[in-house]
Amino acid sequence: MAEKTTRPRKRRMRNLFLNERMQLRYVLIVCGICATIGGVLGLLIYQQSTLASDQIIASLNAAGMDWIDLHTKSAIREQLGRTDLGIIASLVLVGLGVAVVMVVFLIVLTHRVAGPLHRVAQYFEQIEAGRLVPPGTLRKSDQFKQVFESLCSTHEALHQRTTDDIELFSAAIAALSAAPESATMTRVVEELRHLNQEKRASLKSQ
Amino acid sequence: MANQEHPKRHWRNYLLDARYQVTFTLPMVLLAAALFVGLGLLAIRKAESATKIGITHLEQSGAFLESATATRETLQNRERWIRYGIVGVGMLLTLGLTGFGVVYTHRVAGPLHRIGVELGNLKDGKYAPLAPLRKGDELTDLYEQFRRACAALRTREERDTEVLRRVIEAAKQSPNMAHDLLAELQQRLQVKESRLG
Repeated sequence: MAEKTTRPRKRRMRNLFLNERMQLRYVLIVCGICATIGGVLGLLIYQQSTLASDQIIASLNAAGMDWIDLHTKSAIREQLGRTDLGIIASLVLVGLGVAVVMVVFLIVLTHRVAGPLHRVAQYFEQIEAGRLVPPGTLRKSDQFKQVFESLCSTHEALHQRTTDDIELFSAAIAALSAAPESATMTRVVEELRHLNQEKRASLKSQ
Repeated sequence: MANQEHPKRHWRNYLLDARYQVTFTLPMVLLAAALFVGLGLLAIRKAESATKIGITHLEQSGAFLESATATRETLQNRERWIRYGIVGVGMLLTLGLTGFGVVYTHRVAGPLHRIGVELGNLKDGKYAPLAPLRKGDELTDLYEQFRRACAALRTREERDTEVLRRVIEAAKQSPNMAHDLLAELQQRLQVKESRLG
């Protein structure tokens, strides 16, 4: 019996969150680590920058620096303050930009795991419901190909076993139906026919 | 009956699915390392510039020689500590994140490895009940679904076995039943019974 082959579906933005718990946890962990690094080192950079500015301002106020007029000193102080704030502002802006790119990248990355898991979960659901629907195929960049290959070969084995059962049960039904009628025989044949129909249906259902 | 205890984790088993685990650990380590190197270099440069400005200020202010030397040393030591601190923390962070990444991804790779093994058993016709996952493992919902699917397969196999037994009993009474077909039904019953263990 020929099985339906399903092509791997294209990734779509709306399907990127297939396993929210797992995907968000990973994204949050990586973003949390990067935010901590950025925060601590950003603070250190700002601290060193303000330290240098404070020393320059202290030099300006030192004796012997009277040759610089008050207006120029004030302008230098303002410039230094702006530079320090500029460092913080550029760190925050770059940090936000990196965070956005990183979150998108990590969601796409985690989707390569969530996608196959979703497929596998769907297959188990079908099995539980008594349907032997082919598990389909994965995308090229998807993870867990080995487990998926195991799933496919298990599906083939289950499919083969069911087909063999159908053949044998059909032969038994034909032979028993030709026998002289008795209540027991009729009941057994009916039971076997019902089981066989279920098996056939499990191979056909979508 | 399968062993229902939680199997222990072993260090040698931590890299179960190298492709997945490396794909997930590497971006985390590389992103953190790139961020650390970039910002760390900027922090070192700022510290160097602060030290230089401090020393220049010291020279200009005409401080006493002894006090100036001590302050200069303090400034230089601070700069050195920042540099060594950044390098040291960066290395520890890289190592720590690599370890964390492998352990974290193992919690996903572990259950999937187990599912892979059990799928192999199903393929070979073994319908034994599944052992539970380990504490801290991810994908508990998926594994639970797998357990339910396996239980459903087992239930169906048990029902097949019961029906087959009745069919064989009836077939033995039937004059129309060919000997070969009866033998085949009996053989199938044996196979199904062996699957159930």
